[in-house]
Amino acid sequence: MADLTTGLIALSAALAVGLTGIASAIAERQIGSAAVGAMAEKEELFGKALLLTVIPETIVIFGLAVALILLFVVLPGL
Amino acid sequence: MLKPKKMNKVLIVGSKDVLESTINTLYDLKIIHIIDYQGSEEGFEIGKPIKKTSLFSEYVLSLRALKDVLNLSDKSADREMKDFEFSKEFKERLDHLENEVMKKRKKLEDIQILLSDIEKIDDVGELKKLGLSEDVNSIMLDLINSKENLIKEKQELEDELKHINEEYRNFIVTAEDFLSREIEKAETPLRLATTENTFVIEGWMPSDNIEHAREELQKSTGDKVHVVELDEVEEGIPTYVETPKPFKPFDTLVDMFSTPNYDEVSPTLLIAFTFPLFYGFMLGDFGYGLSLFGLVQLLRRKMHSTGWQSLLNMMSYASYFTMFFGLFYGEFFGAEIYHTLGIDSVAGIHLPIAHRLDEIVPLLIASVGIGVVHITLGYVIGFINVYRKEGLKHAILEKISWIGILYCIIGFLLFPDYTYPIGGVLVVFAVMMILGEGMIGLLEIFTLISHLVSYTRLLAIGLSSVGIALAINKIAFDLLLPNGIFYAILGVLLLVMGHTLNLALGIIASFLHSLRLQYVEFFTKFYKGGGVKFTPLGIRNEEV
Repeated sequence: MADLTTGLIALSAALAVGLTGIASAIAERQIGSAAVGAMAEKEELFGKALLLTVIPETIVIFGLAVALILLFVVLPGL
Repeated sequence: MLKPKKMNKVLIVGSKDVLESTINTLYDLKIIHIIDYQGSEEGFEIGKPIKKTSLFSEYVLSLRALKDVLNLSDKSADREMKDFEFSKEFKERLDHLENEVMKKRKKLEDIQILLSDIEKIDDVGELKKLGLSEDVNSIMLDLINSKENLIKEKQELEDELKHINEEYRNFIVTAEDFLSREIEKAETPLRLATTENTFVIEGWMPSDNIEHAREELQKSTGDKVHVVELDEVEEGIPTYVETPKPFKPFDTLVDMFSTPNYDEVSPTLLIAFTFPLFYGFMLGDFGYGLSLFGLVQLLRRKMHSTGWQSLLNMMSYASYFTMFFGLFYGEFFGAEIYHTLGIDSVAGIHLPIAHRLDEIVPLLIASVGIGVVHITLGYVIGFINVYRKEGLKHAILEKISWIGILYCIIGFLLFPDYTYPIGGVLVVFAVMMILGEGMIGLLEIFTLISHLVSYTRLLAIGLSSVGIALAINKIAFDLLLPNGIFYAILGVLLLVMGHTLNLALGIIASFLHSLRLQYVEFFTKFYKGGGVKFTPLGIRNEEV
């Protein structure tokens, strides 16, 4: 039977990924719409636009790293 | 190889009657980056184009229209063919061809419109109910009945166009290429300074090639041209990096960020290794690597434009690394290979060396470790750049200090018992860094930490892809396949579609994130860019 600590750690991991995911999504939405606007005028920008759109994905990757550390380093160490 | 080639500014001066042969020679040699004359010196005017341009332009316009209509834009020209008879006959032949093609196309379009209209009437059906007069009705009926004939006619026209395409393809493409070159040559004087009887070409030439160019020019003009080297150090020296041919495609990635400056190290060769390495580390699945390899081979035959070819070359390197890491992780479309095949170890090495879902923590540490090496490499190149430009003191203060700070941060993590001594060393490096870059540099320490953490994406991107692949396999093999023929078909469909989608996502995500690691985490440590690309006379834009 899992105790409260385990539950809280699991919840923290979930929040770390979920919230950072939302943050990335908000940032990517804005960059994405600007990128599509730019591409409508100049189609060659596709490559650059695509690259710029994934830049904020770093946020969710940080979140994922935190979650992984919580689940695979912190939790087994308890 | 890493350093841009040394350039010298040259002046080529000669009498106007050899202007044409001078341009021809330089055009064939492809070694001078001309500086356009702005018309600002007194006594010198901008040159006038060599005659015959307007006629050529007319030809080129019709040829380009033909190329467009016949879908020939990505065919490459046969450079060997050079002798064109630009006589009356050529013009007649071209006019005739253009007329023919345009007429056929117009007809084809008309038929298509008519056919789609008939389709509409067909759908509405029962015309009689509309209460139209007999005459109109019979015309409509005739029209509907002619549908078959129209389709046949359409087919014939398409065949004829195809025939024309096959027969004249080579002629059109080659002639267009040749004429475009001729026009460019003829228009070159517009970029030069001339007086009544002489001309001056100002430009940059790789220092090693000047002697050769001088000889060739004297040969072709009979000593009527003089080449002078100038010892000017100036802004705007064009950059020409001689990248070995197999790594040429990676130049595109560097140029997409910014062309290297004349006095800095070009990162192309490093990227040629680290980009596919990171790509493979992220995608890391033998099955996906194999599919990617197949896809690249397939597209190579279909896409002929230079941009596609260089992209595909990069992707083929990436696919080798993906296959390698697939074996390393022991993954084949998400499934564990070695376990399934019953292989436990080869030559004493336990297989798989590290499965991604089982060895998350070691791989997390490994990806940050790769980051440390990559960032250090960035600072080392930065050191070389600053050292060459501003001397040893600046180089140590600006770059070595950062390497020190980086390793102190790592030290904190690895040896938590020695916080104070490491902290002391960190302060020393931080002071050096502040001397080199100013107080604002302190904020950059946090950027450095975030860059380090950013390398965890090497594992993270891969994990998400493994996760999806695993879910697809689980649903297909455990839930669908064992439950009768209907579910089995569904299962196969899910496997094919699911893995195709996951592969597409993986290919794009790995590409972008691998590139991002180069641009954001690596380049910011040393790369300035903003150089001018060396574009010699004789190389047209689409080839660059």
